[in-house]
Amino acid sequence: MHKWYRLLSLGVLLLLSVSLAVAQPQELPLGTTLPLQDHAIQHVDGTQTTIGGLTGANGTVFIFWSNNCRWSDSYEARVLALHEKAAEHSIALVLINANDPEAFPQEAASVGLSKNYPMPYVMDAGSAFAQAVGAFRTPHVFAFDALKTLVYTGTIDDSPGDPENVQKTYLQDVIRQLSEGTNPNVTPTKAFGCRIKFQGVGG
Amino acid sequence: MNRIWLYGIILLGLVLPVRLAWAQEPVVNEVTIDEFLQILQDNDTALTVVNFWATWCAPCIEEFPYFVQLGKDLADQGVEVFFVSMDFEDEKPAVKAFLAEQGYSSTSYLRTGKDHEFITAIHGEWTGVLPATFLYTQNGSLADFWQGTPVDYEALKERVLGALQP
Repeated sequence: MHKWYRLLSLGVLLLLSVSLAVAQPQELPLGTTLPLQDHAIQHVDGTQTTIGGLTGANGTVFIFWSNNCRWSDSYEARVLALHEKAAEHSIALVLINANDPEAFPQEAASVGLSKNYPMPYVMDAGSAFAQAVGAFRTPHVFAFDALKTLVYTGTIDDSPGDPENVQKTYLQDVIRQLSEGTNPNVTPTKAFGCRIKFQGVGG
Repeated sequence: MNRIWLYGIILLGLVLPVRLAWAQEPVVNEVTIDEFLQILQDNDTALTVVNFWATWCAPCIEEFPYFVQLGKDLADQGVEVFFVSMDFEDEKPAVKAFLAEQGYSSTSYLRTGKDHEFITAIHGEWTGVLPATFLYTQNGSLADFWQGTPVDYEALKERVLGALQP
């Protein structure tokens, strides 16, 4: 009886480990086509569009973003500069807020609107798009080419806290390659960032 | 004479809290990934619990006291808890302030260097999400890890005790 109890406990522990392991969001693998293209989504000013409607002729860079995150703050100027560069080559750079604005008022569309960003800034209601692509932090980059195929996931560069110390310009390289019409070959990267505050999960 | 004693006691009352505050100031050492791996390798406790956290990470803050408690409760079983903050280097004062608030005065760490290299060197399956916790046995092998999901005290203790089993 005692042996069975031990085996059962071990099984429960194993199941718990597995459930914790599978609960982690997974980024879409490179080569996947942009999901949810017909999915309706709202700009921070309330106007309606679709995921597919946000794409650029030569590629699209979605960056999951937050109005209240040290990492996003630190990257803001760099993202604005990248947007300018991308726009010159008909590559769309889109900020997307998948945080729960009801639980975290700083993430509300009105706060996003007050930022006056020159690029599209949309609200991912219910985090549907974040979950479809496997985004879990801010900033978190998902870049698609002209054919809407995923070509890069990860971070913007290798120095979030110090723009003077950037050695690897991952996203800038992806944008350059997209603008040249070549296949981006930047390996996906890992980074720290603020956790996306999904509905019902908290920060 | 009595007045001298009185002044002495008042002076002691003024100085002692300052001395105690100094004594309890948390020590936060900046570490590169190589330095941290070396620290892990040099540590010869039965089980090392490494908790990666940050002051901006709400679930990290939520579970932090459980790790402090665990370190106290299982110290006599050879369990040691290491905290490694992922805050930016210029946020060290905020890290220290939080540790002080938690009453944690042992040495803890603040990672420096590149995120991608740090994350991949710790574990290939770590996405970089916080909080993340890794349990290492005395010979340095990984016994268990979990990421992104904060734990309560009982769940934490159960997993740590599970990893301590021979």
